[in-house]
Amino acid sequence: MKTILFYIILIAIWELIYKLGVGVLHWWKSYAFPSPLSVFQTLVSLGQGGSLELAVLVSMKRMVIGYLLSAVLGVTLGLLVSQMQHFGSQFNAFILGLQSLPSICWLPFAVLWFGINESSVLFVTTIGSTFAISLAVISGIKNINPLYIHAAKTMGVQGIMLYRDVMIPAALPNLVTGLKQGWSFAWRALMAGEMMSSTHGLGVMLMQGRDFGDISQVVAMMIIIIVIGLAVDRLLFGRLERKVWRRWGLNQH
Amino acid sequence: MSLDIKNVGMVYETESGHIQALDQVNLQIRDGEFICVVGPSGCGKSTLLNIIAGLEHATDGEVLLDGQRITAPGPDRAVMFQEAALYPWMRAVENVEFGMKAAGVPPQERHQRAMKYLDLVRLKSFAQAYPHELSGGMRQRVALARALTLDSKVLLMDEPFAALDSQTRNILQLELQHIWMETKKTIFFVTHNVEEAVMLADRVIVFSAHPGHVKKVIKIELARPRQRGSIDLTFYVKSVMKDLAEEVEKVAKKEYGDNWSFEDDTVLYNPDSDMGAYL
Ligand SMILES: Nc1ncnc2c1ncn2[C@@H]1O[C@H](COP(=O)(O)OP(=O)(O)O)[C@@H](O)[C@H]1O
Ligand SMILES: [Mg+2]
Repeated sequence: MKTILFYIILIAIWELIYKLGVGVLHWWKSYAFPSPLSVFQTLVSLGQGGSLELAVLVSMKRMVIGYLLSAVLGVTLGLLVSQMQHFGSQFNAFILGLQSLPSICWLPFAVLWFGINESSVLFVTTIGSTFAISLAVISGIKNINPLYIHAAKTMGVQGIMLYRDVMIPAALPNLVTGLKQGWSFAWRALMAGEMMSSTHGLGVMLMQGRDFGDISQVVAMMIIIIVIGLAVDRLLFGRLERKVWRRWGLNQH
Repeated sequence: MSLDIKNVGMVYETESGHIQALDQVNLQIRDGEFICVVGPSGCGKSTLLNIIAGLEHATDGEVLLDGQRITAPGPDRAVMFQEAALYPWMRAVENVEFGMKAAGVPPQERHQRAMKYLDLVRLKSFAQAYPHELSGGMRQRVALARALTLDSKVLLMDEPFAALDSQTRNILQLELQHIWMETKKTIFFVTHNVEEAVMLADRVIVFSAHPGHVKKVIKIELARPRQRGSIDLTFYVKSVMKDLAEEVEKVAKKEYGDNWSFEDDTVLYNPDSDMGAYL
């Protein structure tokens, strides 16, 4: 209820700014600042034309593939690094460095390796979240209560079973938080990648808005990107995170 | 079963220098014996227990279990810690089953055995609960059940009741006595609570501090189950207290400076005092 009220107020303020800024004070030309209504109309017409659905589908498909890849790579890399006897902390710092690099910086590489096609966008998406996930795995493993491992060892648990049944579940709350964070990194990376080098998708439609001078379309796409990002973050990862943290008896969330 | 602690010494290398945690510890533990090690905190009790468990390696001497030198942890030496160390993502019964799972016991059988031991610690009705849904005392009982399922040669317990409130602790002490009489397990029990030690042990090992060392071995020849506050028990408690008073003072002086001291009487008048807990 509160949420709905919040958005009604937000839209009202937007409308007010539009009326004042464009109509009365002439701060912006009408092509530089859209009204809520025109954005809504654009959304409806894009939806009816089917191009919006298509773009959402294309972007989501890339997202799922790129993200799953990054989850597998990130977890594997994280496990490998936390296994290392030597150079573990150096690797950790190195990954931290790579993580702080905006993933769109990888685009020139991606284009040289794969050409301007699907793979290069996927590459940018994947690399956008891989390191964040690795870091979450590394810190998750590092912060396992040593008592869990001691207890397991005294029960004769070792090798793969120690990893599968003790260490990974013990690190899971941190891992899920990392996966959630990774998702939003991947989402940003995908949008950047689509805007720079692609022919379909939400990022492309946003750029089309710019190219056609249609500010309503730009804002409409921004809204769609926010809504999808937020929905997945809240409904999928947020729920999973809460469930895991609660089940594990942790109350920080 | 025989457990032979031979000339065990332990030196920790830290940034501030060597810490001699144990020096020349010698002990022989017989089959089915209930041993309590008591001493002020920081005197090396946990260190000794961890060495027997194989979680730490003595820098001197060795520990032999049935003539075999201990080098690594293993299910022949079950351990119970001060914290229950249950896995929060497993239900109580799954926690109890976990050790047997590692030993390759088939699911059907391990479930049955887990339920049997949960029954022994009177927690059968909480089999499906998660650890965070249980009280501290219940968690320790689950941990005890889990330790018992391993069918280990010896059960190592490191202040397992120290974090519990005194009522719960009393109940668990009684339960442990019964379980020990039923299972005839060899138990190596570490505590800083003198009354607890006297109540449970066949022999109380009084540890001295800095470095950890066996100061005195006291046989407790009292019938079981023993009740708190009985006259015989109090007699033993006082005598152990006397041996310990010096040690506690030694630790206090080390931590609070040389002019720190307390009246001998304060120890004697408070048989339930946790040696070292107020330091
Ligand atoms: N990992 C360690 N590194 C350095 N010193 C340690 C370590 N573990 C224990 N000690 C030292 O060894 C001594 C004995 O500790 P501990 O066995 O835990 O005592 P207790 O269990 O009797 O309270 C203490 O002085 C403690 O500071
Ligand atoms: Mg201790």
